[in-house]
Amino acid sequence: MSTASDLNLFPASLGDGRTAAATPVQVRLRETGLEIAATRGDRRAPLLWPYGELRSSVPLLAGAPDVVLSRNTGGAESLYVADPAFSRQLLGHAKFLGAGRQRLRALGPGIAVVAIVVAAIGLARVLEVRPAQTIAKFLPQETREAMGRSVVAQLTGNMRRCESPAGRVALDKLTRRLTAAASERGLDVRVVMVDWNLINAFAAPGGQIIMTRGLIQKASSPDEVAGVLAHEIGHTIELHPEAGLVRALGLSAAAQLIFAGSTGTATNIGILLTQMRYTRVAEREADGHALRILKTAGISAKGFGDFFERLDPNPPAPGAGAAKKDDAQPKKDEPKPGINIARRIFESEILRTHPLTKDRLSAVRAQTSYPATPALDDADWRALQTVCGVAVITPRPGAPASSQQSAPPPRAQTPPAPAPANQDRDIAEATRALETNPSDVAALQRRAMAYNRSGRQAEAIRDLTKAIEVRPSDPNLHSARGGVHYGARQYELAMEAYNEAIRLEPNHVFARNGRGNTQRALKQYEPAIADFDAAVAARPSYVFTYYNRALTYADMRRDDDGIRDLTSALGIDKDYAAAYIQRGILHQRKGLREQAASDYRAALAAPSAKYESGAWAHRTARDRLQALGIATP
Amino acid sequence: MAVADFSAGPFGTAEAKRITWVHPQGGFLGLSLLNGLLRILTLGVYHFWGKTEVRQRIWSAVRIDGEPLEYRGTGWELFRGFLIIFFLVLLPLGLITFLAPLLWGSRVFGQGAVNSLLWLLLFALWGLGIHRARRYRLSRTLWRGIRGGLSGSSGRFAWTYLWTTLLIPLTIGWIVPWRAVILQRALFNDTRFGDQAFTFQGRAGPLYKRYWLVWVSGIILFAAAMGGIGAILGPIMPAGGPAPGGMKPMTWDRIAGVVAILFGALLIFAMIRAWYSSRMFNYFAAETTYQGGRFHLATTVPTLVWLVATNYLIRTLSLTILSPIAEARATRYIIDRLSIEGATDWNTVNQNPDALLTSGEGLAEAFNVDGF
Repeated sequence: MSTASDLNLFPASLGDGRTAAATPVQVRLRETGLEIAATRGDRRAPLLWPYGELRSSVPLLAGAPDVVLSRNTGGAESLYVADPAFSRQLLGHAKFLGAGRQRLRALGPGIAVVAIVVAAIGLARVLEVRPAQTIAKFLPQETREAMGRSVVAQLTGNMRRCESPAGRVALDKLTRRLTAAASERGLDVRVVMVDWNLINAFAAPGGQIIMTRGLIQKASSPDEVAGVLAHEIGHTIELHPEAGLVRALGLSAAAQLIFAGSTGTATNIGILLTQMRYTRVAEREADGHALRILKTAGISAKGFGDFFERLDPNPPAPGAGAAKKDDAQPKKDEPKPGINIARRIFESEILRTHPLTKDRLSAVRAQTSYPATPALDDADWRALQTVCGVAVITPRPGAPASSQQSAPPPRAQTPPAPAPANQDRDIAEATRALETNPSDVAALQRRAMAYNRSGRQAEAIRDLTKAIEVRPSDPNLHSARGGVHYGARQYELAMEAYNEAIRLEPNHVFARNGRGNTQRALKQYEPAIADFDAAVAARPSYVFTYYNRALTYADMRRDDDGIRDLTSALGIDKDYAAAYIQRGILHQRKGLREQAASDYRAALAAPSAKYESGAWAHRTARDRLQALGIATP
Repeated sequence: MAVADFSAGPFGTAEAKRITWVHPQGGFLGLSLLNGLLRILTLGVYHFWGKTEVRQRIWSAVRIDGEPLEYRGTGWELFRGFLIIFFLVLLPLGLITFLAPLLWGSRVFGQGAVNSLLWLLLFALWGLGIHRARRYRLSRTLWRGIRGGLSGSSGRFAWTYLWTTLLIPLTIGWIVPWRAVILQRALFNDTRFGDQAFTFQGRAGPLYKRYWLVWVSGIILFAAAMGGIGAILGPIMPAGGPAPGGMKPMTWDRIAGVVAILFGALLIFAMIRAWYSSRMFNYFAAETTYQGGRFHLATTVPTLVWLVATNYLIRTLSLTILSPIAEARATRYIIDRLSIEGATDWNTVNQNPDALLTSGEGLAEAFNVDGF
């Protein structure tokens, strides 16, 4: 009865929604909707489904081979049409059924959420709200302390706490001095010393701070320890540990929400990166507090800077400004470019939890000077150094912080006398002698050496300069002064002194050794070797020359030469424990594990008291054997 | 040009059913990528809508007598379900596990006791999630306007799930086929299309004919792998003094050796397991009837292994972005091999009477329980 062509008429199947049976029907696309009529023979009136009420089982694509339609007004009927022409025409009448439109509608909630989140973040930025920190502020003090105790327990596990009484007193003295400077109201800070090799300090919630034996050993003055402690106190003041915990919880919850469907490799890395980013900002803030606290407490910030410099494996060359010498000449075994890029990325800011030490260093060095006293007096400092109960060898400040050989620089000019010396006693005795005769060169020299061993290099230099005034042509005095400068990392001055000594006596073994060491520190390896060669020629039985030359060969990656020299040294004195260690290290570098292990065991067998490096050698031997997986007695 | 075949005779006559798969016009690759992109752009919120569209497409590819299934779930339902579960279950659980040790220390929360309780809770919730997810999906599945459904109590199923799970370690895995039959029965006997239920009559006996080999080989492989690894790594440090040779240091060869052993053992076990799984799927189908018509599934071991392996690669290598493809492939695999014999009188199947669950399968969503 309609004038529409038969192209508009499609066979279909209609389910009535009451049973699963279906009726064959015919569908026509009218202007306002679908007209569904029974096939011939049935007299019922046709159904009309308005286009606006239609719902499709699948978002329609043009030319879909079939389609299942129902009405979204609640009827249970279901219409099935299997004709691509039908779908095409249907889309013409009911565009909203199309896939594109459906997806746009589906995007609505997602975009709304994103808009809300962006607005919230923007608002937080504008209002300078820091949610994690705010939440952290609301935590009561007992909760914070309880969290802190758990964190401390988790971080330190079964490690021993260092509680020697004198050391504890010294530590508390230092802590009190710093907390008093940090805030007038005083801060509740508890410092825990842990017998742990790691060089670090951690701030945990509730004012708990962990410091390690490794840190105390790495520090060469109480000022350095004070700097680190002040830094950690800075974290505590800013509630960084508590905020960090809150943030970790929040991020993990948010990531769950966002990545609801897929599981986590991406999630975890993302969280890690953001966490590290937060700690970067936190470290800078803590540094700011540290400098302020140190200044208020009247402690020099130089120690703070010195400590960082020692941590940075590639310190800027002294006086060389920004450019590093390493960048200039390519190393012989330079790794492939890909690895270099990876290493550079790794070293770059984004992936390190602490800002690059170069940045922090410049921030600290930029401090103007102010009147300052040492963080601890000598007695307290020594007590702190022994808080873990073991005698601690303070490395000379000139020790290169390379991971391969953390050796104390060879004490070339000191005769191998056992020296559990009481420096104070020597100083007092020499001072008494000088009272009677102020020009007693020997006494001046003795006192200078005692000052040097106590770390009081300025006074040592003063004494030696006085001695040189009295006896300017004594190469020993110049050599001794070179040694003190070398120990204080004042290499140019050391070179001057040694040059003078060698000018006075070209075959001065100590001066040759000393200048060789200085040149090695300045990375002038060939001249260093030349000096050592001269020293060997002058006195072939002086064991330290071989040791020093071996270290230089090791720096030049001439491992075989280094091993040969160390073997010579051990041939002269089989009890030279440090030589075993260095040889073991070189063996290990060449992949000769068994030989390295036997060297380390030999070091342990050698007496530790014979040389000043003995205790270090024993400790290193144990550590390295343990790293190799070998049990030690 | 009609695709489907309508009955030539008067309607309502019982006729042979066919279960077929007609691959959708757009495939799944484009949809997967689009969903992935939109998901990222909306901080994950679009995931629920994307998943809904994927299901719509998969469902519409499954044909019974030439007419497609229809999926009427919505993204909103899934999203709401997830939010409910997240804020009522996941977040409290997370807070408890994270904060409790910090706040109260090991006095109150003996880690062992709390951990065990949490694991029990997790297993129970998992079972609950399976049941609810299935119910949601069935109730949103229609054919010719008739809904599916899952009757029965989710709680009872969760309990069954929980205690049978606990039996697995207690029997070193021997209980697995028996458990599978129990759970399958619980699910399928309550599964409805319209007002008519499926029936499942399977028993565990026939499964054990193959399972015993899986079980024995599992134990042997485990022992062999441990022995091999032990030989490579060297003796464990005795508690007392140092051993003369000491523990050998870890080198790359040793690590590679351990990895190779583990990988090899797992691979062999997976093959044997697949041989059993194929039998189990086919057996389960053969023991399931609807309206007197018995199902027939013809999976084979090589094709099953291929499917699982390639799906695994697809999922992991694409960081789950291409999961819809894997889902579709798995469904297609089953549908292509599934048939039903006997006749169904569609006139006797009435509309499903169960009330509609209003929010979607939040629990399963949160725990990623996803069947085919």
